[in-house]
Amino acid sequence: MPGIIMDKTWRGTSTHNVNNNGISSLPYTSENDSTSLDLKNRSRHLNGLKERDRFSEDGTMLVEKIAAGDSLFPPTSQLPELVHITQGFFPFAQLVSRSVQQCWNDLSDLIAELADLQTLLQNQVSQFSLTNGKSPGNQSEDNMQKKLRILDFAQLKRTEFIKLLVLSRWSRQAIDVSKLIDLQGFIRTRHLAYHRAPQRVADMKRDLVRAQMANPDLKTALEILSKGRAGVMLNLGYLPPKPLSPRRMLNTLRKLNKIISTRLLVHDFIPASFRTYLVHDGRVTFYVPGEFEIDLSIAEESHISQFFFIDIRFLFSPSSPIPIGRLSNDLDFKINNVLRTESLVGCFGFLHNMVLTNKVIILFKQAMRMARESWSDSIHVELLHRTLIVQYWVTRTGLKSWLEIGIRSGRQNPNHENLDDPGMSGVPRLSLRWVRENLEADNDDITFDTENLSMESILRSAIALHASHLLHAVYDKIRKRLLYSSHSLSLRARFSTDEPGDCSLEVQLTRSRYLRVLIEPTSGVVTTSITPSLLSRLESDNSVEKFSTDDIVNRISRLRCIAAMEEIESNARILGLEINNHRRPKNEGRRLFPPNVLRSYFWHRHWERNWVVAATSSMDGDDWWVIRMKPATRPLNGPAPDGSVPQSARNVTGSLLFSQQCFGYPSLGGLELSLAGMLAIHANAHYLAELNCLNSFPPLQKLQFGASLKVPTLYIRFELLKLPPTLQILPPDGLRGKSHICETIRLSFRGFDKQAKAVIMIADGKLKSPIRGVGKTTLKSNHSLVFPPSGCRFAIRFLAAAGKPIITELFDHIQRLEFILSIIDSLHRKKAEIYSISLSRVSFGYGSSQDLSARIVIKQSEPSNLADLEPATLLSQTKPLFRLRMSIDFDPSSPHRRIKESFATILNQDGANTSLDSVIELLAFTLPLLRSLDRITDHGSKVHVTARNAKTYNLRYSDPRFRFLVTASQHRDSMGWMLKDIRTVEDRSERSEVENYVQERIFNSNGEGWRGLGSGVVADADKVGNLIVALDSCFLGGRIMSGASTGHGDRKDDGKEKPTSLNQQGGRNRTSLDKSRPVNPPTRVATKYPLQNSEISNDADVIMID
Amino acid sequence: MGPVTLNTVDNELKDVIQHLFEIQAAVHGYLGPETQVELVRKIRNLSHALSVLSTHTKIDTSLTPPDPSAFPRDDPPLASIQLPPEIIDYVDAARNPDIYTREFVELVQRGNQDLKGKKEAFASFRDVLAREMRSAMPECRREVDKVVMATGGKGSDQ
Repeated sequence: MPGIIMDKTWRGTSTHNVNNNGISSLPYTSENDSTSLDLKNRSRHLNGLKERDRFSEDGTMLVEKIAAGDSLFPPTSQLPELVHITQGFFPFAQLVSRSVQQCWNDLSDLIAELADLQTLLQNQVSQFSLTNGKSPGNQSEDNMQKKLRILDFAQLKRTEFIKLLVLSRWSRQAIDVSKLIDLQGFIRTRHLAYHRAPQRVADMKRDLVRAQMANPDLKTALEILSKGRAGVMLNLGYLPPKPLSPRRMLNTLRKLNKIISTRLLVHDFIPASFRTYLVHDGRVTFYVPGEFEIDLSIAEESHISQFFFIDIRFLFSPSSPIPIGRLSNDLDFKINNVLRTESLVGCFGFLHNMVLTNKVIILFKQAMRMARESWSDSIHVELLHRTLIVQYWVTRTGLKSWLEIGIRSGRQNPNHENLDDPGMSGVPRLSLRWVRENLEADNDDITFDTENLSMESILRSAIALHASHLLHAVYDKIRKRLLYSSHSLSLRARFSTDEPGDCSLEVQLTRSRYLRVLIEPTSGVVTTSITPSLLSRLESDNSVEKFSTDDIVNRISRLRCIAAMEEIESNARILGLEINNHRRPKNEGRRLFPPNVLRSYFWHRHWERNWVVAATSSMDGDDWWVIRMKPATRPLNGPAPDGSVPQSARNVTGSLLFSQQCFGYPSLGGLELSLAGMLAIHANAHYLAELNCLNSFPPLQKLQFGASLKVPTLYIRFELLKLPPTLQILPPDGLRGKSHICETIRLSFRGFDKQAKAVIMIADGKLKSPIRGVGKTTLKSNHSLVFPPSGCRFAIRFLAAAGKPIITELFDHIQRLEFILSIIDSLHRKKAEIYSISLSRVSFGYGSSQDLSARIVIKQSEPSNLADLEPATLLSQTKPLFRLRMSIDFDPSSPHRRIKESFATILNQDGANTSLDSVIELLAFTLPLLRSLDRITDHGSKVHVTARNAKTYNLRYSDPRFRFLVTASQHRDSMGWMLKDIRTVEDRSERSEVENYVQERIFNSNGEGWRGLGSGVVADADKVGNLIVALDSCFLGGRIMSGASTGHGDRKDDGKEKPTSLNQQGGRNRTSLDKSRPVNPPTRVATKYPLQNSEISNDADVIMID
Repeated sequence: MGPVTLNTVDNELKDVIQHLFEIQAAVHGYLGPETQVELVRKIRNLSHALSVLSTHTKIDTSLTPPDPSAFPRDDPPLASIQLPPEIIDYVDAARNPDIYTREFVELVQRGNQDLKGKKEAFASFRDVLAREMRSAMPECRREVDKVVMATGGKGSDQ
């Protein structure tokens, strides 16, 4: 039987216990497991404890004292039971019971599950049995599944029950095994107890250390107490040196000086950096500028003995002296070592490196302090070995920039570096490397003072250079823009190599506004400020997030354009221009204007709807544009629809530096006026260009403002024959031919008529020959035509809304003027005196003493919608739109009134070369006749005069009935008048006495200037009056002879030469003359042109020009 | 009727196993309605066997567990059987429970021998310690002796 502990202490007592259950009961005394003891054991144990307490006070256990044979208890009855472990034990019956229950439940479930599928399967089975008569066994998928389910279940449960059976078989050992388990539990607790025992022993030993006490050295203590010294401590017995006398000391020092000097001159190799030295006070002081000075001395006379270190002082700031103490001792030791092994060269190398490292560290500390204080968050400081890296403008996005301060060995490029001091080559030195936006930049300009170390000044210098670099790039880019390259706006940059705050760029945005671009030193943020700051909407984001020069330039450009545009717009508002950006076309604008411009559209209420003015602003200049809008589908009255499309845009700024002049108040008023004028000029030029028949100068694209906003003048080469047929006026042939006007017509803008709310345009030109006598002519005040006193020029004035072309009117007027001039020319040739001239009439005097006046009136028919006609429409038609008709008008008292219509016919005659000349000749020729006729009718003659035409007149007397014909006739080289009797045969049959009288007194008689030929009378042109008076007197005399009662009949036969009595028939005669119109009016024009005829009535004010 | 013994339960378990096997056989060789009747009968048998087993294994807590010593060693009463949880897991994992028994016995054997060695070593250490203490502190000799005696050692030689 296992588990018997062969312990002799209870050998004698264990026999029956073993017999009983095969396991020996061991005394159980572990206090630690007392909780698991049953009560009975515990009481026994307590007894044991009492016994034990006396000698094992600090917990040493392990005691089988109880079993100590004869000691306290009788062993047989007192052995404690083993602890029976039942924790987690499970009754087998319950296990079986639960398994059975589970099996039953599963079986029920299985059957229920199978039952659900039964019906379908049975049907199938029954069908099979019907066909075969024998069941084939159901081999369907479902049935197989069912069988599998049963099989699985049975298999599972069988396995389970077999396991239960195995357990049941094993259960026969269960009681024994349970005891074994108890035994194992006991063994484990004992193991723990044994394990713990050495631990306790060790703890006790450790605790006992504190109980120890050292042994006093009583012997030495007694010696020292009694003798005052310790005999064990040895005295080396050195003798103290004699104190040096000053004299000796001086000698020694001098000697030292001499030795050192000799050594340095003769023996020692002195490194290049140590060449500056001073021997004094028994020592040599090497002086290395910017770094340190060191005192060395010697201890022996031998020239191969080493130098010794005395003192060192740093020669740069900030630096601190090396503190006395461990550090200086260390340094002393090290320097002496170096001096011994490597002499002066090594000493310099060592100290030099130390100084360089020290400097780097000092700079690093300064940088760290900056990073903590004023430059926090804007620099990164890193120290890698002896290289200090300071990255600045950390918050800036984009490429990084940093400074590297490190030690350059100076060996790599002996040819390149330190050419001025070859001795220094190969000596490491402090060096600076500047990486600007990931590219190494030239660091020569950075202020890097190695004597007065200041990280801040180095950094500021680098940043200043960086800022200068950025601003310079911006400056270069802006400078290339036209506005700045032409110096119309100022651009000023300030750079610095030390102070970033001094770097700035000042850009003049407009005449009054300046933009200042600064780069904030610590963060590198680009800030812009505008003075005076009016652009409130732009102030909010006055820092640029991006930092490339292009971004800065773009931003400046945008600000400039916005500022300029704001000024333009505000000024335009003052001027009364309407800003109609809501009509701004979306895409067309980009097509019309150069890219990258801001634009605004303006319109004035006095302008034509289809013209607007645009202002654009860009870095290359601020421009004005004249834009012609193409009206969209809704062109009827009302404003131009929103969809109006700009048809063309012309830059009118001119090469002049416009921005300087258009933004100031003094020129503001002029601006609006000039814009209107420019609009007018452009509209006309545009119209001309579309007509495409006349040359004009300057070309459309060069019609730009001149100096001081001068509106350009348009020169038109006016060639009549090149005009489209529609615009040609067909004058009577007689006036065609040579032109009186020079071809060049100047069309210029002359201001704005506030009353008419229209633009005044003047067309003026030169006459080929001066008009004589025009200066004396009184011109009527409402005429648009004017001749300056010199008489060589003319000017015509037009009034039209800005943007409305006046070309058709101009052509009309010019042609009429030409016409008028030819009339005047003719009149002059005939010595007629001109009284007044206008485009529609010429009044002149004639007659021998210029006492009579006549007016030639030119009427013109034209379509009413002339101004609205598009050039394309004009070009498409071939028939002339205008038709001139001339008429002549006389004063009511003028004798020529009788033949006015006849003159008009002659004037309008086609084909006659000199119709006007003939009219004027006729005027003179007919004057005597007509005057005499007037005279007789005014004095009561009964004659009835009918003018058939200017050369043929009927004279009718009703009582007695006589009819005479007076015609102009050529006889003997000169024109004269011929009087004939044209009575019919019936008429001749009656009233023969008067006839005889007439025959006698007229036809067969002679008078002054006339001669009777029997059947007729021939009279001179200027003496025809006598004939007429003589003729009339025949009838007047007849009436007097035949008595007063019967009136006309009586007087017919006699007294015709006495035009004494008055007769009131003049008026009747005139009316009858009017009724018997001998000439048809030229209705041909009217029928040919069914356009509405209208009198030209636009003879307005006179403008005097010089 | 006396308490149910393990043999009874054994037999009943065997019955159940047999019935399950028969059901398996019947299903495997299923031929038709005849087999179906047979199957129904077998399932009924199974349920009967289960019912018997269930009745016999129902634990009556009111009764005190019978003393196993009153029964033959081969056939202890069912109610007295308590199984340690390890063995149930062991069987459930389809391993032989006798191996468990053997291994456990060996473990206890080893532990016993180990314990014996430790006991002797400690006794030896006790004697050495007692000797040293007696020589170092003669004034404590009596107390040392007493402790040695109480812990099963011999008293001092002196």
